[in-house]
Amino acid sequence: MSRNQSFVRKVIYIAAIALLLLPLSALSQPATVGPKDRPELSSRGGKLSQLRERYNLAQAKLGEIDPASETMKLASLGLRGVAANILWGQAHHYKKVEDWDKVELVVNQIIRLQPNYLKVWDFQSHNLSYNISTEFDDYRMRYVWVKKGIAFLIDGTTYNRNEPGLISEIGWFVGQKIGRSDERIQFRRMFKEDQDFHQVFREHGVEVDQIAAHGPDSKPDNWLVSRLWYNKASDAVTSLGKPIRGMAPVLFYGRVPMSQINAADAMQRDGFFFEVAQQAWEKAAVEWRTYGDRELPTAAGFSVRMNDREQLVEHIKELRAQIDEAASGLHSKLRAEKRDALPADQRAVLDKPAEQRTADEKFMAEYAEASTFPTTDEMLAKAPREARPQVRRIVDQIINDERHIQEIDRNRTVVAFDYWRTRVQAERTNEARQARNDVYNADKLKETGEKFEEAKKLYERAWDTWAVLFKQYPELKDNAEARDLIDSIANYRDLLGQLDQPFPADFKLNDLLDAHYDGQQLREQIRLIQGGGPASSTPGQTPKPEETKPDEPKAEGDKPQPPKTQPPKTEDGKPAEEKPAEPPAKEAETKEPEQSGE
Amino acid sequence: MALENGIPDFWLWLFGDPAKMSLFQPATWGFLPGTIAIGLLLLLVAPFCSFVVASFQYGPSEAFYYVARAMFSAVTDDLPRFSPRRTFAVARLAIQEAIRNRVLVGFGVFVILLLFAGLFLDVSNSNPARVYLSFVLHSTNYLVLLMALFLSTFSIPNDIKNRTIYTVVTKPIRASEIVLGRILGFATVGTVMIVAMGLLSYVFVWRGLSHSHQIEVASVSEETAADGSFVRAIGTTTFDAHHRHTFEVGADGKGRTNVVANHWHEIERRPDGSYTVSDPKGQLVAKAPVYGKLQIYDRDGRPAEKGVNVGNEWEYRGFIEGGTPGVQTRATAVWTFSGITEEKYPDGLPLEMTLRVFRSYKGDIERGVLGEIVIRNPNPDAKVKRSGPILFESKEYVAYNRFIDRELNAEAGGGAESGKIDLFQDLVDNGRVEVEIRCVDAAQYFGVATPDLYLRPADATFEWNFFKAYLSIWLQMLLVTAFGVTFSTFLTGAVAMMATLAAVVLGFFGEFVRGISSGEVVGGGPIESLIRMIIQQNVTAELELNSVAATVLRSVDWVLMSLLTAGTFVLPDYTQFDTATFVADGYNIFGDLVAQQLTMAAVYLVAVTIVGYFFLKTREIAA
Repeated sequence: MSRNQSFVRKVIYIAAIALLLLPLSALSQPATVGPKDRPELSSRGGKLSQLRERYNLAQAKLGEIDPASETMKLASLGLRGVAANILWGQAHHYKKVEDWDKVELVVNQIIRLQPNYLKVWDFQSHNLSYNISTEFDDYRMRYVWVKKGIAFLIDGTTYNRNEPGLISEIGWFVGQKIGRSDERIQFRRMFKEDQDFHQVFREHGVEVDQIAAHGPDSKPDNWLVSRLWYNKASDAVTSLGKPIRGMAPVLFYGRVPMSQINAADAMQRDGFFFEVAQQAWEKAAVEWRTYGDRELPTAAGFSVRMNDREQLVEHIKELRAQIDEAASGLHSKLRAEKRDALPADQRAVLDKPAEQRTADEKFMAEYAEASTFPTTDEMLAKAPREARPQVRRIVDQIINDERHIQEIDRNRTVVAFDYWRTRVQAERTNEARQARNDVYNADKLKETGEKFEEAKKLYERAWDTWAVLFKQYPELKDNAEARDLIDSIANYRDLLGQLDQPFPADFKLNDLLDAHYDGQQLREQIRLIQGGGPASSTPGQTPKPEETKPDEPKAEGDKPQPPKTQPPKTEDGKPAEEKPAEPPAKEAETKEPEQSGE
Repeated sequence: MALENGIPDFWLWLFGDPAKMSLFQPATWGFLPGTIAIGLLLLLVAPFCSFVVASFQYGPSEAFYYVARAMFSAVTDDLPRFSPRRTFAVARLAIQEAIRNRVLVGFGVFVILLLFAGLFLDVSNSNPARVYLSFVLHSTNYLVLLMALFLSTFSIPNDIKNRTIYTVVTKPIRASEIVLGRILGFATVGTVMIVAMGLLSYVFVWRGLSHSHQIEVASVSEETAADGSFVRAIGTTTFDAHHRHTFEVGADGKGRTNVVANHWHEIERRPDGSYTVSDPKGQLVAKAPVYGKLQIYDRDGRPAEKGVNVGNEWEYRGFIEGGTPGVQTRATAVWTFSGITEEKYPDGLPLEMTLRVFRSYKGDIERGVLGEIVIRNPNPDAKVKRSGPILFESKEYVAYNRFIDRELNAEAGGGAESGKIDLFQDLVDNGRVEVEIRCVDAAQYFGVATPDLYLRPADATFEWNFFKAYLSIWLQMLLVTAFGVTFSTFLTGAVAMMATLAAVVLGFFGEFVRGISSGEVVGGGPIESLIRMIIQQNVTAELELNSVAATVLRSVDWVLMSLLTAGTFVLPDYTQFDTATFVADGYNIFGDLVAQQLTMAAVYLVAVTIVGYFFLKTREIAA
């Protein structure tokens, strides 16, 4: 090969390289942001950069690129998967040998290798906040690790901007992990005071200083802050059109009003019952209504609104009336026939007034009622020939409405829509607030061992109010949330024991006790101790003898008591608070906590 | 710091534990018997192998003559006429060669790593000192080993390839001098590099961890007496270096912050009411703990091999059940300490604990789980058998200091005549004393392992500990250099490098190889693993092959794994040289461990140099 040929070949190579650089540049040129006054200097960058922008991957613009992440990805020389795999193994090993600092280190390396793999953020944040935090005995350390998990998720949002799932998870951790853990009292207290952590939120666009995020003490409340994150996640979906990842829309959107409900509930648990709590419940009611009005996509291909159910039911009734009109009472006639064809016991239950039915009868009545409705085929078959086209049209509408109701019911069941709607309505009433206030104060008095008689009065007043509320809002009674009240009833039972008084056989909330396992157990204990007292009236749900724990130490109130009712003894050396009838001034004193709490 | 392999004991390591030693388990032999066994085996096998190889070329009688002459002349000729001057001359040439080969590139890479370390290091970690120290020690270690690998393995093969070796071997120089000279030369280059990297690392760590805070004036709350004099102040520092502290200052104007990110600061209140904050304290330490021997007793008070397992996958710690001592439970953990004298511990015992807590119910989470410390006399016939209980509240994941005063309360109803007893007069028996830990809260548990309770009379200096860690790296570098030079005496450069690398890898993963061989690690040997990878079959599933094929490949694997396993016993165990964890965790590297490392390095260096000498000598014969 002559020297000349070699030179020509080199020139061709260089030219080919230069040519190849052009498409490469078009593909990978980073986006740039020009000065505000000269936007023409901004560039959207190459194809890859535009794709990153479209999918909201953070590394779209120069300056947003994380050098450590990029270098690590490059340094792994295409073996990123292998490197990540080894690191995952290491993270597991360090977790096993309780080397938490190293777990954190390795996790931070993993995310540099896999910053846009959303499951990594989900998994490892849960690892930090839930799994590792509980390994510490000291709740302060637990809180530190809960925060690490939340901060980790917040980091994730810088790599994956406006990703609704990640943002919503931050809200979930801030709300549920801080507000529902065993250490929630301590966690909530620490969160309120944690200004450095608040600063992290501010830096990521969640303004914790606004009143909407503040609890009654004018400090950030974890539930209300979580609500801000949920709102941010909802905005990403509604305003930016981002898809909801791995969660049903009904659950995703339900997090916003639920955080408001949880905030209102937490205020009451902290001893705030009146003005502040009332506002919080009012707001919760509005948010629940808004939530019910939100269009939710369904798998059936159409959207529904949960609040539409009642309207649709009314509409179906109207349509059935129209069938009667068009086909000379066809619907009513068919229904009457089907009702007559029911078995005798089902007919008897239907004839019985609704309020007098037992739980089983209610269930039977619902079933019988449903089977009295004629099917569309039956109506079409029995309709006069000339009315059939019109009947068919109406029947089609009924079918359509029923499909909507079916989807609405599915969504409503998932989020216990009816219960929470009733709950927010009930909690707004003065009676509910007063009843909760009484129970709270009575529990406090019982806990501090002061003024037992006054505590008893408060309890009894609360039970009276609750009985009225349960009658007005029966859904409240059956939900698991009502179990908190059973704990207070157990306190009341103990208190009566302290006062040497039996638990009343005709206790006003026996229905509530029967509706829950804890309550049934409580009644069974009372029955065993008081001998032939009120046993659970729910058939088949009485706990078996082996389910009770006779060996466990019992509270004083569990000791066998004489059936007779006696006034409290004053000469038996018990504290003076057992004396009946505290002066009214003292009563007023006991109400101070909730007033000062406001 | 968890010591999963127990606390090192040099003599036990050297001679083996007589209680556990078994003739058929080489792992139990101890280093010295193992070395003698391998040495004897090599002394028999190596000449025989040389004889067989030489026989093919020269015939048996000539081969016997060559092998005998090589061995004989080594003792009669090369050893007595060994010249340090010529060795140093070769070493000097090796240094020059290394510099010519741009060995400084390795150092440049290290400097670049340090410059950009801020991007990679997780400085917001709960223990930043550990992050920094781990980083510098491990990066130095890997870079130095890599450099030693490249430097040592290509030198002699290149000389032979370029025929420059003839300019040396035609001079009156011996093979031993060439091998040793090269090792010395390259080791010198490595030493200079390690020293430079060590100094740079120290500055890097020190600067990286150095920070200060100001006082948040608005947070300070001061208490004053009726006369207006200052009583105490509490407050918080500013948020710097990813953290802030709370602090408390006493009436003397001196105080300290709480421990965050594994350090604290001293705070001083000046007469004018302003505050000064010191540099961080307690980050760069080298605790020198004195460990005892642990014995756990179960709930019935019987000695137990291990404590209760509370469901942890990691069985390092055993747990003792809590409850009213002697009534609900007799479970205790007892550490026996030796060498306890008045001279060493004039004021009492400086105990430190790193216990774990397991709660079987929530209890009062505002406080830790309650426990008791009892100091016991190990002599069952002693008049005073134990002190009264000293109550403590558990603290997890921190070293919890608890100083045990010399004057102790007597046990109620014990043998003491008065209410007070003296630690040394009443409880120490021939320099031995027992420390008993028990959990007082019913149905809660304390997790214990031998290193979880120790005496901490005084710390070693951090700088000395840092030096010892670099000494470990230096010893590793020496070994890799020696292996590299030796392999390069009979292999080409690339092959020698691969062989040295294999020796290092086998040295780092010896336990894993033995695990595969014994079946503890599932997945099978090299052939089975390869097939599993190809057919994408899980390691725990039975191999989907017919029984004949499976038997054949497992037999091949068995042979390969036996060879590899034998290799792990012959090659140095590099994990024994990993002391970075000690320095990073703030623990002094045990003297026994350093002695082990020095012994291992010396033995391997001598052995490998001798082997290298014979190979080069044989090669000369062949040439």
